[in-house]
Amino acid sequence: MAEEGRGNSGTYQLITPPNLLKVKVGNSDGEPGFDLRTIALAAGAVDNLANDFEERLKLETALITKLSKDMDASPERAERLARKVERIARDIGGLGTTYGYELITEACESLCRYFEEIGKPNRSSGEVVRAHTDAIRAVMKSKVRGDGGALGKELVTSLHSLVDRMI
Amino acid sequence: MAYRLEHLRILIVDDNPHIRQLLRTVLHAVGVKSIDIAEDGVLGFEAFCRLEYDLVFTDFQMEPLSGIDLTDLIRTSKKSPNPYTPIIMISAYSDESRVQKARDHGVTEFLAKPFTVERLLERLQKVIENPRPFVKTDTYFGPDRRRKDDPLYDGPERRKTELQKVDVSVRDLSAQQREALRASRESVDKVASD
Repeated sequence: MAEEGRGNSGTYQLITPPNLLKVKVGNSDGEPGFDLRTIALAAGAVDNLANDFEERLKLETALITKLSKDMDASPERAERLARKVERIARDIGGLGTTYGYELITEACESLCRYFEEIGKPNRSSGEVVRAHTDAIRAVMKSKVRGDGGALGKELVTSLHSLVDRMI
Repeated sequence: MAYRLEHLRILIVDDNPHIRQLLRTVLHAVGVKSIDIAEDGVLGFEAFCRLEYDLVFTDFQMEPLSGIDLTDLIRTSKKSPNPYTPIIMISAYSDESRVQKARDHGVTEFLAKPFTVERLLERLQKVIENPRPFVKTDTYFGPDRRRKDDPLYDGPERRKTELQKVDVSVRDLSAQQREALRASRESVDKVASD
């Protein structure tokens, strides 16, 4: 079904395609489309992936640390290395909370903010990166899930203060 | 009655293997049987043209073709078998300008990382229950962007409040965990003061 009209920026066509998705999945009759049992099943399946995430996190953290040392050793490559670090941090940060590790997401967000704010890395950048990876490693090693309470908040505040100071 | 998702065919396009696995796991758990995977926008569009998909999940940033490029192709390419296919974009870059960009290229929903299972299913339910009409103008083809309760905006502020944050009291932490957090904070403070 389509109708035509005229708006501020010219003519437009409004098309309402049939909702084939709904036809395929059926009507939920006003009930939630995903019941609690289904949500619990999905959440359980995600929990089973947590070990993979933890393993990957170890590898990625080690890689970021190595890249930070390369940044110190080869300033001419630092900008390219920094982009790589930022990309990895964004990837692992984007998964942390999914697996219950909010502090890892917070630490990665702080690191990404640092790179967004400074533009080009400088002589201190390697050390700032390592301060963040050390924090991620500590959270992971001691398996601190959730926000880490008051001590977790203090750690996040310290990371942000470090970034504020270094930008 | 809950949805029956076994007849859906879903395409996941993401260069991050862990995200691909995560999405596939959740979708399998809720009953989706046919899930195809592509590692970038080029392979994603090739797959999209081969079969009829009911829904596409795509990452925002990929090389050589981004999720935005893929959305453009799905919406406007002559090769596209179904330009009305719902597209859910998933990205760790959730600033308003990127969300706006996604919307202006015809993305149906935007899901910011990190996401929870509940949040992912909520997005899926929105696509099923509240499909938007499509608008075609000289410069745009995609879902109507004028919906008042803009479901596409998923910026950092809202994300923070919607995620089910787990509040932990210091008493909930073991002595070893407390010590690890304390030592880590002191180490960060030392770097800041040097």
